[in-house]
Amino acid sequence: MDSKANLTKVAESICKERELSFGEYVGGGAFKQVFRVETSDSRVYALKVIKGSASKQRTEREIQAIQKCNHPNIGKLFSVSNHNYHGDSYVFTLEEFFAGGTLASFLEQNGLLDNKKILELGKPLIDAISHIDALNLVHRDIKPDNIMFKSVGNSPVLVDFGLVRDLSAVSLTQSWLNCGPGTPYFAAPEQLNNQKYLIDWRTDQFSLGVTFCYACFGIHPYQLPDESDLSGKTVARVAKRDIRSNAVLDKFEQSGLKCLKVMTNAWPVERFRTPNDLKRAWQKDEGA
Amino acid sequence: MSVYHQMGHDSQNLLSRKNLSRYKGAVLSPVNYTEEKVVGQIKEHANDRFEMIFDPQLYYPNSERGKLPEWSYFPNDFDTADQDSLAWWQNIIADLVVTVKRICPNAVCSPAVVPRVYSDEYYDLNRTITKNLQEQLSDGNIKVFQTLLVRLSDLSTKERAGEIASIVSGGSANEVFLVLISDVEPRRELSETEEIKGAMKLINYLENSNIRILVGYSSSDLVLWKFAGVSNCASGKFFNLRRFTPARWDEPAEGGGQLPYWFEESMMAYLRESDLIRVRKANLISHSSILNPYGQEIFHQIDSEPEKPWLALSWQQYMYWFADFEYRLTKGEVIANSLLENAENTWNQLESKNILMEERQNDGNWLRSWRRAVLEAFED
Repeated sequence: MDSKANLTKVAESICKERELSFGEYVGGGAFKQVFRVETSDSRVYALKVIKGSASKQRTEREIQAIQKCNHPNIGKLFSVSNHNYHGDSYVFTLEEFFAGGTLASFLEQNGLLDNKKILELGKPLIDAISHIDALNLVHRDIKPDNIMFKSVGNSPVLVDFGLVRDLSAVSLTQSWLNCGPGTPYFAAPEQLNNQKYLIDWRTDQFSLGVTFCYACFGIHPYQLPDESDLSGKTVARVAKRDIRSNAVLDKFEQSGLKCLKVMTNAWPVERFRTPNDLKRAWQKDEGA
Repeated sequence: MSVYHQMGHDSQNLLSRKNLSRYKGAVLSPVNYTEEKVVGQIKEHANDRFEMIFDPQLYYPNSERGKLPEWSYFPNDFDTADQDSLAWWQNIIADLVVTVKRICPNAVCSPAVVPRVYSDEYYDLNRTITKNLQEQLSDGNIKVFQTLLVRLSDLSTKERAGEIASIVSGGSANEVFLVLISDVEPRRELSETEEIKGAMKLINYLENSNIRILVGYSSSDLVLWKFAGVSNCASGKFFNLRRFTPARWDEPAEGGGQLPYWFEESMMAYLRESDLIRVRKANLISHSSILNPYGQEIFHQIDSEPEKPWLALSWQQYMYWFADFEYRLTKGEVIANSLLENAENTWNQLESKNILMEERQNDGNWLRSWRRAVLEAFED
């Protein structure tokens, strides 16, 4: 029996206990999976089941972080509980469910977005990371898989705070690690190099910039024009803080998405210093 | 874009010199003055156009501290305390806040010690201390500078300027008092190209991030920092003699021993009297030096009363040059590349004419490093 099947059984057991109707598996990994469930009065929730073997501290941080957030473009958490299944303990949460799917699946089905759509999506998402920053939090895993839509292609919402960093609490990442947590393709150089004191909201700014670049042009900002390798070499170039190709920088310029150049600068000091600086620059791109 | 007096021992007379009116303010020194004296300096000089910045100068816990222990914010346990404890710093900040509210400067620098290792953790604590100080002074008009102590040799590593600048810019300070620490001996110039390039990058990163830098304890190296885009630099009368090294904080030797030095722009060098006479004879004194009112006084005195000491005039000649030079750089009347190239040529001319400096190590060799730094710092 694989891990997915295991957590599905757990989810079904939770639904039975809580009088919820089990819908379907939505997504997840080995330690954490999400299911669509429904109450008797037809309200739909995302049921997230977390294995007891997952890092307890990280799970606590994730839950605390979502509970702190209160923003229309950040997924809401309604309840947290424990459930015992065949002698094992699981944490589960009931969260806001988004019927519109992820940005990743939207791109798969509809192809790349035009600059107008990027500018439209950018505004609420920048607002969301600004809200996260105000709470002294860093998401650290912004990518197309973690951006969902309330309805297909509209009203983006940031989800999955599993790697959240609380800057006011002790870091859970060991200093000796070569690479800090994150999804390498979308991660900022400071994450890839585990430079803990360089992590702040500008780290999320970088990942959002990479996400938009990928969604609009189908490439990574640090990818070379003749390079077919979409992950390994590009990620290594990000980690080394190599310069970006003129071809990519020209794309930013010509498409009117000038902010992306600054957002994806290698050093945090070269990016927008405050969320308000980014908002102002984004508005400028919108008006251009 | 301006210059500040870096106050040192017995420097207050320079604040009111008519020909030094280009200075925008002064960085006050509790090591050299009691609270009473500093209050006097603030009362006499602070106004809308002249900014008095109080630097608590807690840099070197183990060296002699002059008047510092007499100040109420100076902690009794300075030598034994756990200096990486934020709680310990919070006590100092609280006492410092009481002091600055009493003496009323226009601005205060965050307290900082010179560490053994200039780690990321150190800079993180540094910005937390600054934020704490800002919060405690948020109800008044006293501006806070983040004191940023950086070891020049660390900056020779390619990445270090970006790392430090990223940590600092992640903090809340919009003004930084930058102190570059090196082991360069008194009267010697910075000469490590990679270190200079790193410092220039650091300044450039922060200024581009809308953080205004005031480089403290600056000197003729002003030309490098200005090229990197620095907003302000501070210098003082002792900077033709002493830089920011541990030795600087030792008590000044009593009973004289100081020699007057002339700052010569055509060579970007400090000259002893005998060397000044040689350069003058070779007609290599710069136009700016000839126009310097204190330079004119010095020449007049050397010509009319050759035995009379001109130490005090030499400080003023230098301080006038520092402000005037910054002004001409800002206006674009002086271009760093050409100036340094010309200065190197002047040294070559002296060499070709067999005019050798009495001070043997004063050979202009550092100018090649400076020229390279200016050409290469921002070439990527």
